[in-house]
Amino acid sequence: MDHVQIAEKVDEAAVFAWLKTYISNVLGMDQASIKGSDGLDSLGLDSALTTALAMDLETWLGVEIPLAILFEAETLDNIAAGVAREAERQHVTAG
Amino acid sequence: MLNRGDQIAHQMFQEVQLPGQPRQKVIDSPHLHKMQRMHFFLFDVLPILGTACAIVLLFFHPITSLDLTLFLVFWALSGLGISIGYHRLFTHRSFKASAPVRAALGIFGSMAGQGGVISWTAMHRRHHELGDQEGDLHSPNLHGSGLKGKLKGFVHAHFTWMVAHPYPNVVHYAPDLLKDRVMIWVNRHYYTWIVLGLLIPTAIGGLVSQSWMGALTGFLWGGMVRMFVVEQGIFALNSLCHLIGRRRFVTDDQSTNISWLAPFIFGESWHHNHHAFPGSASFGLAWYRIDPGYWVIRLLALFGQAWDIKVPTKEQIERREIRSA
Ligand SMILES: [Zn+2]
Ligand SMILES: [Zn+2]
Repeated sequence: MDHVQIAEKVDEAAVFAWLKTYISNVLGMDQASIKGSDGLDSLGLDSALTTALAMDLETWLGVEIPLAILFEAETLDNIAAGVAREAERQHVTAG
Repeated sequence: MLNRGDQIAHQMFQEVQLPGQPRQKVIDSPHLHKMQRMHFFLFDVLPILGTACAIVLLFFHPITSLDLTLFLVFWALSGLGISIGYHRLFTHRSFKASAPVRAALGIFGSMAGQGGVISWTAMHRRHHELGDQEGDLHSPNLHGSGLKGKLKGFVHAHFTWMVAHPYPNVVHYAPDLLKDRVMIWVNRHYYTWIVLGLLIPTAIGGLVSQSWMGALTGFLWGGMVRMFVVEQGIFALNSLCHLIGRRRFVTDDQSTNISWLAPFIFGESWHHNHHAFPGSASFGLAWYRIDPGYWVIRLLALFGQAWDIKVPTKEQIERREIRSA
């Protein structure tokens, strides 16, 4: 997974791009077919895969992501927004 | 010191790596622990209660040959699904199989109620990666020394580790399975397969005997009791087969062979052989050792449904044997 770089500062768009690349790599599907309105479930990610995604997302961002953000969100857009917010919040508290 | 099988597994773990920080391989989360507790109660505790009911019922209503048949058939199907499918094929890739066979093995394995095939595979690969070292999800040997430590270890490895445990990163441990559309589909419908595994013996029991009592005993013997028996067998691998029994090879873990258990768990209890040669489809490593799982793989091969069956040569086996000085 050569695309993944350690994040400096991330916004919603950066998180969404990461999600798209990650999911297409893991499930071997076409990146262009993944839309912001897709849900994890409809893409084929069950709780096992969602948990793995959370772990790798945490490694990428260097912050802890509550699993609830991923499990409760309806769409990739929602996830990107929630994750970006959480990363921002933790960076503010840390720095 | 890694043997060849371990090297292959090791390579597989390294395949998908992130640059920069080391990847997070397991996670502990309250959300997951809640799901694990629920799963533990439904599919590990309930079958014990169901088995107790079945035994009490025997005093009022003798077991029928239909109940026994349902028990044997569903015990064999779900047990072979775990041993041949989950374990020898999906986790260790010790042979190749056609898509229908992969799907069938995955579905029968799911009926055993031991987790979805992707989770099971990830957890078991981690067990081989860390065998009896810190991080092994179910080692009986990390709970202190002496009889008390061993007893505590036994209870943990056999049963209570499942109540709440670190959950492995499946993208790290099972990237190969995630690319297999058939297995993604089987995995997604895990709970459906469990329910079918309980419903089918219930329906057959009721229809064949034309009675509600037959449906109940079909459910108990073909569902609950067989689930209990398959589970206790697999749990014994985690507990007994890392505690008592014989060792023959040099391995980094404390795995053992328990020959008398082999007929009851499809040959799985040649567990030490398996840790020494994880990539081998045969656990017995010789024709005269009882290994029904391997025999069925050979049978599948006879019909062209399994191929590339990996077994170490005599020389490879001898090279690994413990030499007494
Ligand atoms: Zn083991
Ligand atoms: Zn194994």
